[in-house]
Amino acid sequence: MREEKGYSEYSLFPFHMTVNQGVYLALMTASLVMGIFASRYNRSLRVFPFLLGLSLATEILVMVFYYHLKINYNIIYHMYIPLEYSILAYFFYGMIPHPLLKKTILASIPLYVAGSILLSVVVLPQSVEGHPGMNFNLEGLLLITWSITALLTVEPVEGVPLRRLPLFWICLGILVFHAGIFSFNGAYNYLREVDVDAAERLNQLIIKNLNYVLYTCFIIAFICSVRMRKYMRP
Amino acid sequence: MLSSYEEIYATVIASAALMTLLATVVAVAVVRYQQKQQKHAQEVEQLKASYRHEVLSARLEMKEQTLHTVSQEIHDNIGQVLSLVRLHLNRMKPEGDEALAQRIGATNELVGKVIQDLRDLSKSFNTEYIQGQFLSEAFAVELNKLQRTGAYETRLRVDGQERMLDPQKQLLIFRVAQEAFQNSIKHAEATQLTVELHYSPVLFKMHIRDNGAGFDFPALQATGFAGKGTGIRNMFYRSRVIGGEFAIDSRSGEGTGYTLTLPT
Repeated sequence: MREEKGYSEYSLFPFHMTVNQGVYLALMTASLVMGIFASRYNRSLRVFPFLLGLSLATEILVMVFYYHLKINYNIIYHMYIPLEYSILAYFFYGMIPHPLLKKTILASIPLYVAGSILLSVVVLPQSVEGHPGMNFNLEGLLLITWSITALLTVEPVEGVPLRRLPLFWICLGILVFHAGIFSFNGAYNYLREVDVDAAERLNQLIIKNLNYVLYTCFIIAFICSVRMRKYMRP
Repeated sequence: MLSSYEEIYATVIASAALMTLLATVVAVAVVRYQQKQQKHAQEVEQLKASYRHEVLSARLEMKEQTLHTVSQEIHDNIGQVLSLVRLHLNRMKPEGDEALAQRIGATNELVGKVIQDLRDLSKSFNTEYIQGQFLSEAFAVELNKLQRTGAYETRLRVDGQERMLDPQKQLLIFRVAQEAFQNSIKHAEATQLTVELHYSPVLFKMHIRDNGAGFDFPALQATGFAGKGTGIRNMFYRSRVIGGEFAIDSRSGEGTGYTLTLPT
């Protein structure tokens, strides 16, 4: 049984999973369910059930690979990240009103996918077995750009403040998540040289909490969407 | 190549700068959204006002069309028939029957009065007639009609150099005044009516005053002119359509004053 200091542990599935991982999966599942419900009222959110379903499947698969099969799981992330970017970019393509920006976002999808494959297969020293940090950072930069653009170009809804728009919470979640990951990645390499174990634990802690923020923001966005259905055309 | 400490410092500073940038972006987004919302609300309000104005104008135009048609009917049909009646009456000279001759004469006078009244009514309904002359002339006809009844004392005063106003505006000013006269006669039971027209290079002002019973105008205004007060509401509408301001000054027992101010 793998021990993690400071955490209780028990078997939930055929493989070992910590309470925190259980909470994380529960949060993802809740956001998926909310996403399915919200997408019935808001067409612009219809990509999120796919995205969240894909994220949940990815995380479960990672756990199976790591705990059960005991093999490297990074290849799953190498495949997941381009898909994640494609779905989120398509979401922003639908939300941003300016034609030129829309074309740019749409063009960035195949470019990023190609670039990510190139990074994974050719550039990274360990290829698909290595951690896809660069893929992740590049995705983060693009998504931060589109989130900022979406926030600054959002069209007002009569009588509804910005904080009650689903787009606001989705952009906020993406901004906080990717900006946090980006900032931490800068210090991560140095920390690994000092203490690998501490660096990995810090990495997990930060990524986990940033994920909590991200999926909580998504849930808030879906709740806002359901409450705003009277303003939305079907 | 940076040392380890320099790497950490650089990362911390870059991270702080990134977080500050993001916080600024979110704050700017909130402010921009609020500004866009306010602008959107103003545009919607302007559209609503424009729509209301269009609807009002269409309704008033329809009313004027109807009045004009009635005016023409009165002139072309009723007036002609009554003139013919008078002609026949004039030809009837019963010899030797003084009483009958007197009755025919009295009937002739009554018919003559009806013809005159119908002529005045037709004029006051006729859009082209009102638009084609000075306001003072149109008002003079109306006030003389009231004066002839013997029940009212009327006065008309014109200050400044009288000029023809825009035909549409002139027509609606006249209709507002007609409504004021009706109110004074029907509701206020006034016996004196004064009309003042002030012309200046940039402004036109019409003031009508009666010595009637007066009424609690603020109370009526507070109800939004619900129930009674349709005529008064129309007066405000008509003034607004031509870009003027309308005011009523009335207190119970102190008569009523109507003032229309129009920039020209």
